Amino acid sequence: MELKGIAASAGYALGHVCFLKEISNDFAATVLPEQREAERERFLAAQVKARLALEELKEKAAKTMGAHQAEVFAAHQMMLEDPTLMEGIFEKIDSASASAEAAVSETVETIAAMFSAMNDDYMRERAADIKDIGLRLLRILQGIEDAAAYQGILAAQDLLPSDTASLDLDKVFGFVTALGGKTSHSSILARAAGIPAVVGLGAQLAELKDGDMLIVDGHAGSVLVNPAQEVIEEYRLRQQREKQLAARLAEIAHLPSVTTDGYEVELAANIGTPENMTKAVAAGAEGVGLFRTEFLFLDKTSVPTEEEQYQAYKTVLEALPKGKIVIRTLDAGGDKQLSFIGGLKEENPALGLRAIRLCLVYRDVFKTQLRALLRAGVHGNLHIMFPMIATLEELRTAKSLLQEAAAELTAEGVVHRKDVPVGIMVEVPAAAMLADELAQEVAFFSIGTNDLVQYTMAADRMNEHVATLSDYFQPPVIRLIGQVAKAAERHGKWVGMCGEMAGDVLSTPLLLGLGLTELSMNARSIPLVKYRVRQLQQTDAKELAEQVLKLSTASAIKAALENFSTRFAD
Amino acid sequence: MTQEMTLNIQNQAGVHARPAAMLAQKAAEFKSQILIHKADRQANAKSIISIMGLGIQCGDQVILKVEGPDAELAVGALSQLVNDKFGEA
Repeated sequence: MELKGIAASAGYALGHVCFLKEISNDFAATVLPEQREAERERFLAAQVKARLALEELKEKAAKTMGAHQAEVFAAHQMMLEDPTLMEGIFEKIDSASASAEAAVSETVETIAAMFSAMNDDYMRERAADIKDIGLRLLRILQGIEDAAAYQGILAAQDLLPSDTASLDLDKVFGFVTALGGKTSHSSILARAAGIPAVVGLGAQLAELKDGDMLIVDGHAGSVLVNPAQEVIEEYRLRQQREKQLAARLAEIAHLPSVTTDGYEVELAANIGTPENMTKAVAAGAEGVGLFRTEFLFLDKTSVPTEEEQYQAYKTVLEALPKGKIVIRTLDAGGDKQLSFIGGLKEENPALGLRAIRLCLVYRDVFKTQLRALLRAGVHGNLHIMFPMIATLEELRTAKSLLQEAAAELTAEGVVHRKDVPVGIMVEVPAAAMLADELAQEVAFFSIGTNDLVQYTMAADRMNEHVATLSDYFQPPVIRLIGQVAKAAERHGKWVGMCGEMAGDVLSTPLLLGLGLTELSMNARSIPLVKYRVRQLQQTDAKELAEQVLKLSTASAIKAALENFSTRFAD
Repeated sequence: MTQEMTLNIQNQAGVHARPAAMLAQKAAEFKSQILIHKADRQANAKSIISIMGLGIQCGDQVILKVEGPDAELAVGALSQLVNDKFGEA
């Protein structure tokens, strides 16, 4: 039997299925009056266990996921012992002889409903926190084992953040879930941990029985149930080949990324928090091509201080003291709302006040960031990058604010870097068309393909109905990239790319042929891209690029690239 | 002993999770019963959930009502926290 789902995380996993035990809803709603005292005791015992589990999660999160996640669990701990929650629960047990389960779930529902009804996005999201606490208590009350005990291929309706945080990832080697998509929490975690996963199986999940032998094909998005012996052999072989390739990739991890005819490309990492640096360095990143600074700002109730930002930037710069570190200034607005600015209601947020546009309005916020960047600049090879520049005026205003920040620091006698190279992200067609003029006033370009595709094709990148348009192999996108690269070359500036396309090994020869000299991607993609770069000849890549620029459909372009890459089949 | 004080919330983001946690933690240090009133609603100041439920925003006026042996100390400590904008801008 074969089940079809969504390929959420690549790789093959073979093993027995093990179901995440779900909470049962058919617990007794009430108990006898004389059992009230016992129910109170059951709740208090569950609360103690939950507190200890959260304490453990908090410590684990602080080490592996960063301070922010740890803060979330600390907040959960506080809520767990909150008098409103406890009074609600005791009241239900005492006055209505509710069972501990019923008292917990009703009280949590009431509180969650209160948060959900509030006129504030931030507060509405707190409903999820209280529900998570409720589920944790219910599990303990129902004697459901801790997620850390699971082994094999884990099957579940969906995985909660607190489930996945407590799994022992040395014992769980695949996920299959009924719900979720490529960007759901469980998928992101699976990819980060390198565990094959197929999600979105829907009702098909019910076909599985505890102990079934499964093959999870994270490339094809399929799950084979109790396959024949020869199929198992075949997949073991594929798994082995994948491991061999991984071993070869590990061998070249720290060799230079240079083509057989000597064209050097810098492979850099995209990172979201300073903690990501460890992985980036391990994957062989020579630098950071995109450090998204949003994590400092999103979910925060106040503007992060200059000192807080300085420390974060310094950490990243010091992790790769010689590598080039491109830090992007605050890219918020649109789908990334800042709670301290307040809900900005826009008809078309993607076309509204976001990225550099937002920063040029909230200048205090921007200036604080620029000051922190300049101060951190003395600790490494800092490059500053402005997102979503569309006009020369925007660039000039942003640069003059940077100069103001530097002048302030000088006047205050604060140590800072004076010669930080400044570049822009090219992610709107306007910037690509103005590339010649912009190139004269920047040190570099970095092409942000995700937004460039969205704005060139006028197709929302999150909208599945227009997914075929949202494709970086669409000819207009490729041509704009070529145009930007040419403009940069004419003015002696370097040009890189950050975004999905940079990490797609199929596009590597094309990007080199177009003249890009830096590719920045998720750390996990670096080894394979480097492997490909080292097999390539730049002269061939140039020929390929010239041919591709003449093609007029995305499918023709993809076919040409696939055809080209067959010569590297290993 | 009963104490009452009117406070103006001035931190930009209002009383979100972090300030609510600070308030609840501080309130829990006192024996007195502490209530926060906003318009016609009230919250137990020792409960982060209850405080957050008021949805207090920047510019709101709240009344602190404290009853108990250490009421005076409690009012002083809590009003200081609010007036310091919870250490935020």
